[in-house]
Amino acid sequence: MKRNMVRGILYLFLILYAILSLYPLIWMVFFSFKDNSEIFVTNPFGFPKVWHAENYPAALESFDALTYFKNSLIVAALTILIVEISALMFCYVVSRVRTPVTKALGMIIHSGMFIPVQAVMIPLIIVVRRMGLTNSLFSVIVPYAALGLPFACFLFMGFYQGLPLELEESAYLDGASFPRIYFRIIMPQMISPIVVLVIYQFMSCWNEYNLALILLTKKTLKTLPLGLVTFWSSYEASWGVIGAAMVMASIPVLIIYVFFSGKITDAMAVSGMKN
Amino acid sequence: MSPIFRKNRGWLVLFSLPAVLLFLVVMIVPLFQSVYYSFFEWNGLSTVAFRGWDNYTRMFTAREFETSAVNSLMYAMVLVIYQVGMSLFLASILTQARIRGKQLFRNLYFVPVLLSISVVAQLWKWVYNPEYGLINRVAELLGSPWRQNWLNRPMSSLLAVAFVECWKGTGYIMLIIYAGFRNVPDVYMEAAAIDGASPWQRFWHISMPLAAPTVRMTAIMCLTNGFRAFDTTYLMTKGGPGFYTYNMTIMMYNAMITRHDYGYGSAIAVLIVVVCVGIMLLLNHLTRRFDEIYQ
Repeated sequence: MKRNMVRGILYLFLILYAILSLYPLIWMVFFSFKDNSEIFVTNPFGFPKVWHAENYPAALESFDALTYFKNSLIVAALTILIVEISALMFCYVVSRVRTPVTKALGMIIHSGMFIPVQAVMIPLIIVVRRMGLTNSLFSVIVPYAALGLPFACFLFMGFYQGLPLELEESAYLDGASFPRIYFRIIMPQMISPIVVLVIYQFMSCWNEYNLALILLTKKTLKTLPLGLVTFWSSYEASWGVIGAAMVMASIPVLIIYVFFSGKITDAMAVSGMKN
Repeated sequence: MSPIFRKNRGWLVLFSLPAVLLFLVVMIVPLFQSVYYSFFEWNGLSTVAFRGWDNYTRMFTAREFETSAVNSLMYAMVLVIYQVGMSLFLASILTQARIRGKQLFRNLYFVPVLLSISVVAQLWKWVYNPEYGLINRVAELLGSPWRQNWLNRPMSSLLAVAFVECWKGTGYIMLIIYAGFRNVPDVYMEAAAIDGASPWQRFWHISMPLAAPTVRMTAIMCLTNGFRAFDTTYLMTKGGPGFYTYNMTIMMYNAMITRHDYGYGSAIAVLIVVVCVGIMLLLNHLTRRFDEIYQ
């Protein structure tokens, strides 16, 4: 009896926190289907009484959704590509060849996890301007890739250490060249962490705001988080339309989460165990 | 070293070069440049002039410095107390054997982590809206005439913004702490259960001490995030109204973007880095006994 009551109370806490985490989002989805009179006066909390799906085309039309989506996708895709390739190759060397130099390099990149992004902002602004990258998405892709390296290396190192050395040694005795051994035999073993990193990196690029704000000043290059904000300020009065834009901007990441929640939560849990 | 690596040194260098170059160019060199710039006065156009410690004196004596520093500190404290406290609480419930739906709850708590900060900030501006916002409407529904302009009062605006950051991030911290608890070997728990320890005794005397390094890690993450946090505050209040939510990162943003005062901005950046690294070293030092005893 007492045990059941304790259990009930524990469940109550869990459920209350779930409501706190989710209700604001549900509220957002609801008002994205309402018109202003329903949001402000008649029905602020519940299901829409009249479904105003036209908020969605209205949002798409008045805000340059396609450009922002496209920019965000390009940035995410290229960042993922650069981080994956450079980190995979680097970590292979560092985990297989343990010399003072490789150890030091590994340590230095690892320490990047603790450097706040503010530390590099001003030099980045200046470099981007000097190299004429203000007109290019590379002005954020390259920094994102560098900022992604510490976690990527942390993730890959653990996996490489689990691969037996016999894998490449037998191929080497058969006369295969170094790049062939790596790309044909070693890299295919890394599929699982590669996938984890793709998801992790996609989410961090897709949502990054701070660096994009200072480095992407040109309107046609803005990524989705920046584009949304310009949209908010010009449409402040019509909550339904903005709500529709908010929901649309959140959908890609939420879809990925529905499919890969196990992998994402594992990757995130690992990222905190970095000491 | 296996002959395969000894005979292919060229390839080894080639393989590590991209990552090393990338990190060098984007992180290491700029880090030192920031320190260097902080001793100069420069607006990006005119000539660079050496000013010694001037930027630092200017920063420490600036009208908004004290408020910024105090706000950053408060923000960090709210983050660490709420996120680590709430995560410990939720994770400790979720590790209890008789609770079902562990995966479901973890997944639900994680949803806010996934959202873009632009969406979250705008959503919460409306949740806090004095007339139509969710909070005041719920208060009204419960029959309370009490409404607040959450983002427009001295203490409440800072707490309101910090709460949004907590709301968004707790699912992540919870996940890490939960993983820390799960790493505690089951045999310890079983042995304690056989000896008659209650679930709470097992939690306090076995799970907690063994997960202490993980908890410390999350505390460091929350505190340093508090000091380097920018986007939530910037998007919700821009540091205002007045200086109610002004902090170190907003101060730096205004120096570098609004005034192009790169030397001064770099001095603020250096302070932020020093504080973050300092917190990490200090917390590691203060809690070093965890490493000695349990690892």
